[in-house]
Amino acid sequence: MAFDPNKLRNFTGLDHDIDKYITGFSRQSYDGKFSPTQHVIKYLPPSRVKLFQQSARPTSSPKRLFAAHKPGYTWGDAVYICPLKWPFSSMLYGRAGVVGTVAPQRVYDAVDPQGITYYQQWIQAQSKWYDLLTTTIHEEVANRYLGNRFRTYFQLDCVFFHPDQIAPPYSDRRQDIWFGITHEVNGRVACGLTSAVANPELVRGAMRGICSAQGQDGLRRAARTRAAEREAAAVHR
Amino acid sequence: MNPLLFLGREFLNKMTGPDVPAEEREAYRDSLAVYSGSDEGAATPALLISSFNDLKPHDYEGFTPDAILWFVDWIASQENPEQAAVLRPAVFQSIFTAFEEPHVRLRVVEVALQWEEARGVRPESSVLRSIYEIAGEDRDLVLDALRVDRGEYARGVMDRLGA
Repeated sequence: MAFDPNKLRNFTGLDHDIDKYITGFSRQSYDGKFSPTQHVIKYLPPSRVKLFQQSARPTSSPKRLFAAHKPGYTWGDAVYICPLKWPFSSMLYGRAGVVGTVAPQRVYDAVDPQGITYYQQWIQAQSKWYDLLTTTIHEEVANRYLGNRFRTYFQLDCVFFHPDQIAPPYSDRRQDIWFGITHEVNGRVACGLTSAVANPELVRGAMRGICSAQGQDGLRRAARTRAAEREAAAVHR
Repeated sequence: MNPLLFLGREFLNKMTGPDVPAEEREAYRDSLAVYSGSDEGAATPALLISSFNDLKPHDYEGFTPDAILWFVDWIASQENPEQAAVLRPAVFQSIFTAFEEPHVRLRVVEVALQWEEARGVRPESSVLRSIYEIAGEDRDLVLDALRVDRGEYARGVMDRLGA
């Protein structure tokens, strides 16, 4: 479900600059890099494949991914996924690939340094959470809630950013881009099963096709991950 | 303690315990969400909320701050308004009283505010007024949550705190 833009709070000062960044630069940046309906992939540990297969309700409707909530996630509670341009980038998280599509309306470019700067400036006005982030042992929890608060306040459906976990050979932190896709409930970032990633389906033997579509770079990566691919195929059988 | 919560407490800790690997915690949360979404598990959210409604003040000693934070966030993420409405607002106050950790207190105030706003509670009936009364030196946490929300409902509650 997409945010309702009418629920935006009254913007002042820095908020206006950030909103302009969202509707201008961020949007153009996203449109220049990705399709309006972008295919994405999420990797799950094999132990969670069965849960994913049971996630449709009613059973005839599409399955749903889980918008996770834990302090360690960079931009707060979200479905963390990767555009198919980089099919193996997030493979450090699992061996079972789920492919779906996203068509976010309000996006935030956190690849560009300006996006990072705006976020860092904005959270400084969130006095208590910022205090907890910078001066207490609760910084992970505070970081999570600040990310959620920012994305709720600006009604962001997607934040895109370079991977912040270095996991050769899968992710290239300078080139790859990951998405944090929002699960929205009552106009706020939430956690739980979500339809924010449309029509997610387990990848069944399609990994080689994806590699071919990516050209030589994809093939090189595929070669490095052959063992992982075999494992994934075994899970899906 | 409510028997359901007594039995389920360990599951709550599996979903939230810092000593449980992150991936395992997420798997437990995912499994609860999937079960709650199934026909046989559809009653789970209402049962869980009712169990929290029945807790006595000393029962909260059995929960870690992480488990309580999970519960508060789970309430905030309930998509079925009728289900979330089963919660007694006094639970927010009980959590605020039972936990001194500032991040728990701040979060419970935020979620109480969202919960009341979504249900059209009148500002003069807000549980945040009672929480503010008992907050002592943490009154600034309550005021901060109201101030940064910048919504109409938060402003209405703040006006009635006399702060």
